[in-house]
Amino acid sequence: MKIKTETILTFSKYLALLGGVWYSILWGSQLTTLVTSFINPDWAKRTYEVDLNLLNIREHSVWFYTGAMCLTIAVSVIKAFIWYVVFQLLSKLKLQTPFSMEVEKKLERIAYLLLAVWIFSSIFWKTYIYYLSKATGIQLPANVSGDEYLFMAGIIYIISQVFKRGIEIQEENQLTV
Amino acid sequence: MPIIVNLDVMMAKRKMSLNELSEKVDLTLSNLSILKTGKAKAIRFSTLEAICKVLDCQPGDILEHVKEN
Repeated sequence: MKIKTETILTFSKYLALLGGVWYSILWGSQLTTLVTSFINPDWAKRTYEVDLNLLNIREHSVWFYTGAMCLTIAVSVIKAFIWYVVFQLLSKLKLQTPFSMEVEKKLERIAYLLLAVWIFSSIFWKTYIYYLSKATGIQLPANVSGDEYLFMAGIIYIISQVFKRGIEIQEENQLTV
Repeated sequence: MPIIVNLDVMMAKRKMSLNELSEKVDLTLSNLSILKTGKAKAIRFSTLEAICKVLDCQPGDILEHVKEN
C-alpha cells in the first residue's frame, strides 16, 4: 500500500503535538516535585517525575538541589517549546509551495532552541555536576550527553538557510517578466 | 536599483494604454505592472523584444542605468 506524503506529514504533525504535550507534562511534574519538596520532602519522593539522586542532594543543600532542578526544568520547557514549534511548522508547511518565510523562520527558531538545549544540558549541566562534586563530593551521573542537540541544531540551521535561498530564487522567478 | 524602467514614458510617447500593450505583447497586466513599477528582478529577452516591437523603440529607451549615490 502506497503511503502518501501528505498522510505522513499529518501523522508527523500530530506526533509533534503529542511530543509537546508529553514534555509539558514532564516539566509540569518536575516543577510539582520541586514545589512539593519545599513543602514536604517525603511527598516529593512519591511524585511522578522524581529523581532520587537529586533529592539526595537536597539533604546537603537546598540551593544545590534547586539549581539542579531548575536546570532540568529549563531543558524540559525548551524541549516542549521545540515540539510546539515543530507542530506549528508542520501545520504551515504546504507540499505544493514549501518555500515560505514562515517555514524558514520556524526552522531557524528550532535551530536556536536546539542550541539552547545543548547549552543547558551539556555546558551548564556538566559544569554544575563538576562544581557540585567539588563542593559536596556527590557524584551525579552525567547521563545527559546533549551533544547530539548541537549537531541537530547545525543541520537544521543549514536547512533553514537552504530554505532562505529557495525563497529568494522563488521570489526572483516570480518577479521575472 | 540602478536600472530604471522607462516603460511608462515610452507608453505615453506612443499614447498606448497598459491594457493595449498587455494584449499586443501577450503579457498579463500584473506582469506588466511589475515591470512598469520597477519591482521586476529580471526581464526575459523575449519580453523585451516583444515590447520593443510593439512600442517601436530600442531596449535603451525602456531601460536606463543610473549611478547610485
